[in-house]
Amino acid sequence: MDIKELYSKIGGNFEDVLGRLMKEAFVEKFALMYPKDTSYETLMAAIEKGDINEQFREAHSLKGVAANLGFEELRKAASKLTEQLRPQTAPADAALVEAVKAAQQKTIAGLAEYQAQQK
Amino acid sequence: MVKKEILIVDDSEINRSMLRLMLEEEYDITEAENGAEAMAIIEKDDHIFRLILLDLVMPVMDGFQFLQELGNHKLDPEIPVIIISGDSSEESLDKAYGLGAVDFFTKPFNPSIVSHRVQNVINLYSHSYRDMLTGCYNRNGFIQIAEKFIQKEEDVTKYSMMFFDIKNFKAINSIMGNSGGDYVLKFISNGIQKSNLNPLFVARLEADHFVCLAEKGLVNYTSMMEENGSLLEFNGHTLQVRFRAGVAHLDIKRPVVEFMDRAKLALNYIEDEYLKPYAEFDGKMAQNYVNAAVVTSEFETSLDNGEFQVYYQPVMETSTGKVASAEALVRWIHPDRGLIRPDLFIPALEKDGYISRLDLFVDMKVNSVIKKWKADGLPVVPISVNLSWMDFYDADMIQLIKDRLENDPNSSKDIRYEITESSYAALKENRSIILREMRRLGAQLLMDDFGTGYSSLGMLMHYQFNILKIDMSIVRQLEVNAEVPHIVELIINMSHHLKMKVVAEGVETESQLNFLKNAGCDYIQGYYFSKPLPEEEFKAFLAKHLAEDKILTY
Repeated sequence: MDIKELYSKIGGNFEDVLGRLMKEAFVEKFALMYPKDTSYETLMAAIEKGDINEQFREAHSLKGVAANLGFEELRKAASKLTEQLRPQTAPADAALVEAVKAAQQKTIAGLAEYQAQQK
Repeated sequence: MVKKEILIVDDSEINRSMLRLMLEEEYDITEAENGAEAMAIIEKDDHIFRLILLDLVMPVMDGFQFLQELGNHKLDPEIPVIIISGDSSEESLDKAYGLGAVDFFTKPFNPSIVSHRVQNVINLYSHSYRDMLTGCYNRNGFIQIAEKFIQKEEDVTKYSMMFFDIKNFKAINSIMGNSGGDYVLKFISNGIQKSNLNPLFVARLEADHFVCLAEKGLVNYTSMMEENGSLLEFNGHTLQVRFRAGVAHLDIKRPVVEFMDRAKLALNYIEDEYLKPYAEFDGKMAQNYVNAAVVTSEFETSLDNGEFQVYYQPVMETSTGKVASAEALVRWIHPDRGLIRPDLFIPALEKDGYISRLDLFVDMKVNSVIKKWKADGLPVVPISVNLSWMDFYDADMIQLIKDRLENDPNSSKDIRYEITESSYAALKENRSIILREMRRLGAQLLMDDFGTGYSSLGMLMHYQFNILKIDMSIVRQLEVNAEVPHIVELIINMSHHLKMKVVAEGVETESQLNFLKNAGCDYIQGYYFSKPLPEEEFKAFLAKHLAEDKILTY
């Protein structure tokens, strides 16, 4: 599996990210930084805690990172959750949270598989 | 050139690294994980950030709180902030703009947009530290960045400060107009930045004065001289641009302005403007070193303490050897330093606008001395005082002179005014009326330093003078350069045609005197006859000459 195939596996937009970062090596470097990123964990902790304002902001952060990496599926899920939270009246919608979780798992699994085959 | 610094504040390493990748080729990047960390970096004050890229959503201290604290710091120059948050809702941006942010971009980061916005914002906010004409630093910006660099550097002796000025820049401006002058300034600024000197920082301080900090090892006079005298085309004119350089090698950690002053001071010690238009600062110069800031801060007290004294240099009639007049010259006798050369403190006073105070002091002093001597029945001669170009902008001073001419007609015979070509620009700026007005009131005007500047002939064409003074630099060339005697004869003939008398300055030898006498020069001034004398000695000098019937009546 090459980096382009990884992107297609996790629902990413490879052309977009390559267009911005110019080199495949950079795309790979940044994509592989994602497992260490804490945006997802922070969002989940905020949902656990029940602070709507914090949930909105953390969903936003996750959306930003996913957008930068071209992880389109994850970005879309985080974006929907962000929009739902934006009025900051209701807590995170369970179904939208599930979608984010699923996209996150798919992304992490894909990255793990990619890294494993590199070794 | 040293890269500009940018501070990136974002809790996501991915976001920070991505921006770093997009910007690090052109900028020096520092990263902070949150507002508190960023604040600590700024407070440590060992960076000069030209821009902050700020995320809004961060743990510990978020972007809003950071903006608030940054605003409280009132940094000078202020650092512009671009918001890089994913949260680009109107409400957040409104709040961020309200707190002083200037722009934003959204994620995903687009490298082309990022680099353009970054560049635009940095340029927009650079007016406080950049020279808008040439794009290099201005004085403030240079001092700030070079100061920090020097204080951080372990071994400052690896570096040198260079001070440049352009030869005859005023003439370039008057020949080619301001746009031509600007073109030359840009050319020089570019030349310094792109030269083999590869300077770390370059600044235009004011007018045609540039400084740069460079590695000592790269200071190469031979290659510098190859670039000196380049020909420049502008609006159909071809112009040779020559510069001069003063160099100060850094010795120990001192405030950067001291090295700038030293390099500038070295300029005064250039002996041959063509063969060796540069000089290095050395300790001997330091003994004569007069800090401009000290001059201007001490000026008023020094004036009140009587440290400035008026000396009188007699002028004699060439044909008879009689005393015809005198020139009033100011001397600064400093309690600690002794006699300070006028060429060291006058430029500082000109820069800070104090020169008119000094000129006025001399004028008042001379006026009172003549009045007193006349009242005491002592001999007097007409005495000329110098007017700086700045005096033409000092309405009070000009009014005082005009009032005296009007109310006391005798004063026009007693006090004369010497004007140099440096006043030409001031006069052209609608101030020529002042000179005409003075003449109308009977003032005797002397054209000073004739032959040193470019506008001397222009001055003669536009204004009427009673007396022309040939500069001492020309008199000194009389026996050195075979052409000079012809030129001096022509100047004398021309002056007589224009109904002006001629004074030759700096006459030191008998052969100079004899030549000038034969050439019909009316008066001579110089050590051959007498050096400038303090008031009491000048009084005695006049008394002695009166006894010998050697004072010209006027």
